[in-house]
Amino acid sequence: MQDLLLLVVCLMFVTVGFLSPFVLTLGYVWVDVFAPHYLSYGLLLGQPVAFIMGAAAVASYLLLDRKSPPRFTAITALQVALAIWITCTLQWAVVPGIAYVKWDSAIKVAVFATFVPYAIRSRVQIEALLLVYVFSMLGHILPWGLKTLVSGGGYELALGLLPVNVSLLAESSTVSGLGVMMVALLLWIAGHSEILPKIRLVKVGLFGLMGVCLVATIGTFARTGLVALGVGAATLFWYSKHKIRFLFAAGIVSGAMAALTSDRWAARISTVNDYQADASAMIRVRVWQWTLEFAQTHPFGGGFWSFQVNKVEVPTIDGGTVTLFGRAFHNVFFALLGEHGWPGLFMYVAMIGLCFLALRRTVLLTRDSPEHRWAAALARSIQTCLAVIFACGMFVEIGWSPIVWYLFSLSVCLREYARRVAAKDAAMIMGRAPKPGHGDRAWLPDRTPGVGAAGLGGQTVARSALRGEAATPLIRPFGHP
Amino acid sequence: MVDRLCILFSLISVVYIVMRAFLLDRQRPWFGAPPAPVLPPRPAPARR
Repeated sequence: MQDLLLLVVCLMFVTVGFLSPFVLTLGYVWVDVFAPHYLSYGLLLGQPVAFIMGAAAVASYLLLDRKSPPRFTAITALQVALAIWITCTLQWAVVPGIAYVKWDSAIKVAVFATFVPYAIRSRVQIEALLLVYVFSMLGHILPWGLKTLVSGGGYELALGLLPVNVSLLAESSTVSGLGVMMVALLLWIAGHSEILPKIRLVKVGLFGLMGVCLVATIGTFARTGLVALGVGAATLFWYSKHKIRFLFAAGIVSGAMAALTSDRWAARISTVNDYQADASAMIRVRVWQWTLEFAQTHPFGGGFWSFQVNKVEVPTIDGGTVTLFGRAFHNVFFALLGEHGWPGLFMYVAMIGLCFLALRRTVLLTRDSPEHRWAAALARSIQTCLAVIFACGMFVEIGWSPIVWYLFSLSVCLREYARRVAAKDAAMIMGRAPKPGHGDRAWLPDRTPGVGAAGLGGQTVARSALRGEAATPLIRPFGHP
Repeated sequence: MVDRLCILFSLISVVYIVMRAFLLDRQRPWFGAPPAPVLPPRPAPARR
């Protein structure tokens, strides 16, 4: 039955995708995040679902939908450069066989994330991408939360849909960070979604989902979750317009969480203060020291999974030392340094920085327009997500996860959307029609069919102007205060 | 049981989102010739 349902959803994506090509891109994102081929018992097991969906998405874009492409931004250039660079590091990989397996998945993630802004351009498409991303991930995070409510959770328990090591969504530290990330995105969905019905029941449901995500974060017993909660709360507080109300709500949530957590959880989390006595934390510190030494002899990296050649000595409780081999990096930045050297690390960090800048620019371009405030709010939510996920990335290796790369894609989609809106408004203020293929009607907030932004007597006319109201331009003409 | 319910919830949500996004995207065409603006219907000419 489960197999049949998964197959029906796959077929739905393909069928609808032939009518609207962007749906195939959503289909690939769904396959990448939800991983239906791992959840299947037979029909989809081992089938190249992602390949079919990805190939169909790219082909349908090239054949049917190649209009108004985004600019080739610095972020896109870095994504392409990283894809080329990881292929180069594969040539001198210290463990070539296993490096190829990781490269195979990483290159697909990088290439498709670079492609996404070409297919996802309008408001509806951006929101659909976000919702598919969120609800696919919720399928994996909700079981953690619900099972924690029943059992109390625990460290190193596989409470998700997938067994450990199959997907990052089965790894406790990653899930703890994603739970917090989901809260930021669900808050945006509750306030701005046009796709979900605007009824009270949906809003209550979304807040319920936020609660379950926070329970999932606690239920993992991961110390990374505490870091994610701290960073997430600080970023949301920073962006909050009602800071007193936020503090009040945060107080209630903290109180509920304190009541929910057990002594076991407190004991586990308190080991953060005593990292030198904790073997897991000490091994990570030793591996990071080894990585810095490795980068001196291998400045261009050792290819994927180069940690396999490490050898670290960790002190034991009785005062002796134990030698360990092939311990993972457990840090996104040290992993990049060890695997792709200084150039790889520099490109990746530059890409994160540029995403923050692009989102900041989106906020500046759209926050003053009531019609586009959703874009400013979404840009802030994605900034929160990036802050949370890379704070978690200090303890888990998530650099090549599609979950992270789709956040980069969403940043480019939003930035390009804001650019189209600005171009459209500039043309409107100057009283001439915009160049064809620069956003067309993407900026129109109204979904009434048949009302266009352009095309009345060769002049660009906003919908608000059709109603006889003053339009809200996003950029002001020269000399205008 | 919990796992299956969560899978079902996720699948139903995704199907709803995709179908609604598809319909909204069709209603608000992005490309091609701009659609004609909606104008109030003209009054029918009076019959003599």
